[in-house]
Amino acid sequence: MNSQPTVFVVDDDPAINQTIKELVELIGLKALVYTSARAFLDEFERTGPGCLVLDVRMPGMSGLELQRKLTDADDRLPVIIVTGHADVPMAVDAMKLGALDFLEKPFRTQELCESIQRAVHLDVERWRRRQQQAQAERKLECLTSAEREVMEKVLDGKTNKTIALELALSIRAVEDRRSRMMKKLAVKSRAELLELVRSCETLVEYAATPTA
Amino acid sequence: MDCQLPQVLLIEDEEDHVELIRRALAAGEPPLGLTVVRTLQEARHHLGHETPNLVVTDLRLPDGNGMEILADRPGEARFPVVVLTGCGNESAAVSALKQGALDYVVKSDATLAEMARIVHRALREWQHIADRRRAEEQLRESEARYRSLFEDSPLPLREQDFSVVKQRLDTLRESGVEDFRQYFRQRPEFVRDCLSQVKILDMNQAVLTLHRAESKEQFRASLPAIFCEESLAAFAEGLALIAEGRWAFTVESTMRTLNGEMIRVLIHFRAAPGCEKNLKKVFIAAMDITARKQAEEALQRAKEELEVRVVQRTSELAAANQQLLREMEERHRVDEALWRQEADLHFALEAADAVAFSWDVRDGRVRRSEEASPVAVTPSSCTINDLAAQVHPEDRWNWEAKIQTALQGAGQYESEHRQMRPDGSVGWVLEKGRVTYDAAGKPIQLFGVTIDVRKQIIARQRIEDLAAEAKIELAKLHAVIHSMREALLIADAQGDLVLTNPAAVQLFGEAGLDPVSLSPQQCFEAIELCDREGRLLDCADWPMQRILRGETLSNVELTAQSKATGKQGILSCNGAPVCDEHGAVVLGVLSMRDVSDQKQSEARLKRLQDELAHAARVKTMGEMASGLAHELNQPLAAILLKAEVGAEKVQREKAPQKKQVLEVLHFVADQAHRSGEIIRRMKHFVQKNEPKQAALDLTDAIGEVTALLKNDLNHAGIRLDVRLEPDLPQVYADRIQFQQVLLNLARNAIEALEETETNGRILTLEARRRDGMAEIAVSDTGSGVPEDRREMLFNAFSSSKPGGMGLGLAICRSIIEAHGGRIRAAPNSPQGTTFTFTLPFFDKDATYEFSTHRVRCG
Repeated sequence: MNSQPTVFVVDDDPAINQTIKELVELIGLKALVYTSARAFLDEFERTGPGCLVLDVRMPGMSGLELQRKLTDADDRLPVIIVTGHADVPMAVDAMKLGALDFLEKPFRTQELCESIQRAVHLDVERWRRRQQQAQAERKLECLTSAEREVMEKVLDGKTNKTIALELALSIRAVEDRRSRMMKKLAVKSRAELLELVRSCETLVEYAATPTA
Repeated sequence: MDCQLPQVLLIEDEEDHVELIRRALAAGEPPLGLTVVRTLQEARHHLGHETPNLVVTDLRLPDGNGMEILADRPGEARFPVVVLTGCGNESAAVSALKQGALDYVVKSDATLAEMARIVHRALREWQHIADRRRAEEQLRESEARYRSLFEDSPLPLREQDFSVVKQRLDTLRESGVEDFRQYFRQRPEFVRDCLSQVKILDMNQAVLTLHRAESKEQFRASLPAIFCEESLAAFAEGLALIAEGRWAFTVESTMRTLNGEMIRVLIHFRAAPGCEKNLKKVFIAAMDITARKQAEEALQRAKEELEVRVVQRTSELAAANQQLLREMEERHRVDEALWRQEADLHFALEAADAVAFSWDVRDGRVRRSEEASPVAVTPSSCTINDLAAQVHPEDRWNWEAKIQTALQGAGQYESEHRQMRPDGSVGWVLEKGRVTYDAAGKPIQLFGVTIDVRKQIIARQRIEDLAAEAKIELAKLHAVIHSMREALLIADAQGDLVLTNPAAVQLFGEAGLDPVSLSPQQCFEAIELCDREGRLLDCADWPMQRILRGETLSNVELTAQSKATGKQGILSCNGAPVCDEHGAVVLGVLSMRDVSDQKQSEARLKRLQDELAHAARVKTMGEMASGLAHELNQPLAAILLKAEVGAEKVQREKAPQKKQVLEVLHFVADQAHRSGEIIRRMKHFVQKNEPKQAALDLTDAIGEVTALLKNDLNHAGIRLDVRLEPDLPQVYADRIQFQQVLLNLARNAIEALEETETNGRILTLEARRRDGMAEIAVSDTGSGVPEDRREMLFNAFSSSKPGGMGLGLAICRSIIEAHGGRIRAAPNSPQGTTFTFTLPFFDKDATYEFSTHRVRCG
């Protein structure tokens, strides 16, 4: 499941790019460098966790613009802004757009390393959870509407009997449905079911963080 | 006896013969009356009172021979006689017949029985004879009558035989001749020949008379004389007519009399009846028309003469008429001329507002011409006193004195005086008069003209007023010229000064010269003039010389140095020639101003502007500082990263690689150099240089500017579009100042773009050739310049930025204009502004002048 996390570096200064790449590799991560935001957008494919080290002042599309574009997409990389020309408005904009960190050139490698590691860690976690959610959702989709009905009742903590009464079914029927549902979802207990469903919900919740 | 029956007288004594004859005759048809006698005597007796139709007689009669009856008959027999005989013989018969017997019959039974037949036959014969005799007699009578007519006719008649001629003519016609007249004209001998072949058969008396011939023989003998040459023509005509088949015609001919006279005759040619074809007998009647002809000719001549006379007379009359008309015309012309003269005089006088008058000195009467004029105040006929009365009282004495002097011998006078008008007004008149004298020297008449000169008086007054005004104006002009600060020189076409002013005197005075007494030559020797480039001017190129050649000078700057005092100055010259109507130069007007101080000020101003430009650059750099900082940050960041990463790598390696370390060191060195470049560019821009225009490569210079701009562009997310025309030649400009302008415009554009949508922020830099200069354009897609600010755009101290001094564009303009170019702004579509400025291309062959530039404050 987990491909090696990738650090994407977008800076129009090739010297910077190369040097950052060296640094990333030094800390045991993979780096892909681009000299323009456009080039990055054209090639970028989300195949695993990673993060983005982004310059702001570039010819063509600026870093903030790129950041905005990525925000619109569902699946965001954590962004670390590095810039030679920093001012307060720029910093504010970048953070509002969801940047993880904002570094001013020149900066010490230590600073950058820490940021990258933090970002990667975050993204790995997220990635895992996403996988889970995807899985869960896939499973949930297999349920029939009848099974879904029962599942919801179970989640509410209701007994089979209560469910049978409410659905005007025989208890047997309820039991059958329940066991089929549990099997499909590959959960053994109500607690696991709860956890499964919650993972979907949680991710949905997580996705709804404020946009710029 | 029956008269109707033919009566026969038988003279026969033998009774039985008588009886036989009687019976025979009675048996015959038609019935006959018979009388028988037996003797001659009885017969004679019978014949004495009766004439029988026939007498039959026996030869043997008792009283004689029957033949005697024959002899009895006097002359012409009244009755035929038939002789009977019992015996007879031929000689007797012959004799009887000779004697006039009609028949001779021998008696026999047969013949007696045949008596009726014989008698009838005799009667018939006798009838025939009688008829014949009658006819012959008639013919003779008619012949005689004819003869008489012929002979006695007053008309000349000739009887001629044309048969031979006719034959000849017929032969001629048969041989093919058609135009006889031409034939005869060509062969006059033929005509003569025919004439000779005409036979004259007879002519009458009248012919002889006509031709003055005494006898017919003489006439015949004189034919050639009669038919002269002139006759031949008529004869030929006659021949022609005959040849044409005519047998009756008329021709006119000319003949001669035997006296030699020429007579004109009218020939009537007529063929006798029956001779029309052969013309054996023709009658020619000739009428003497000589007299008539002569009369005709005379008449004709008279008529012609009359006509000639008439024509002559007519032309004489016409000429006389013409003459008369001419005279009339002449008179008319003279009259008209006279009339016109009079009218002209009248008009002239009226036009001149004048009247003419004449004063008969002896009788005092004055006559005045009839013009309607305000000057005509006296009646047209009056006295000298009336004339005097119309002169103004104050002028009268003078006027009278003048006239007196004229009369006494001066002969003429002239008086300008006031005239009293009937309406009470007073007019001004000029009166001129001339006196005529008699042989003794006494004045006879005075002729005068009185002219209304009111207008002239007024005009004179006006001129005097104008002259006074002009004097004042002239004085003003004089004052102006005198007080003006500019030196004014006016020279004539030869170059000699006609006017100078005090300013000129002062100007020349500084050179130690007095212009008033200066000749052009002295001037040339005393002063050195150089043009702006420092070239010494030849006399001919001196300003006044140029003006006198027709040039107009406008702000021509020259350096002047006095050779005497060494004093130098810069002069600004203006002037122009004054030309006459043919375009030839009459005067040269030159004004000069010492602009040395001005030049100094200008130089100082230039220095200040350069300092200002420098200050602006410094300011710009200040504004760009953060950008600079950012730019420097890049290489620094790179250095820092590389150094730390490199150190880490070296740390981790057991045996650090020389290659690695070197790589880091090289990297660091490069980046440091890069920083150095950035700083150097900045420094270069900011430095304070004496601006120096030189050949400048646009691509290079523009490239440096875009480098400076890179940061700002990136920051604002502006796309930069650089379009340089390939192979642009170098421009002639100061590098720093060019970059300053470009940078200023670009930064303005960036500012404008920062206010617009982040999409579509485009800054375009273009450079191209246009109209022989380099044109550089900076375009943005910003919101553009509002209309109310467009005019003020390049003015100093007008700025849209709060706290802005508004010098940027003003400085740009002054820089560009100092380079000899122009700068302008124009809106883009759909939005934005384009600033365009031009610069001259570098021309290595040209000499370049340094010009001042000013910052316009208005």
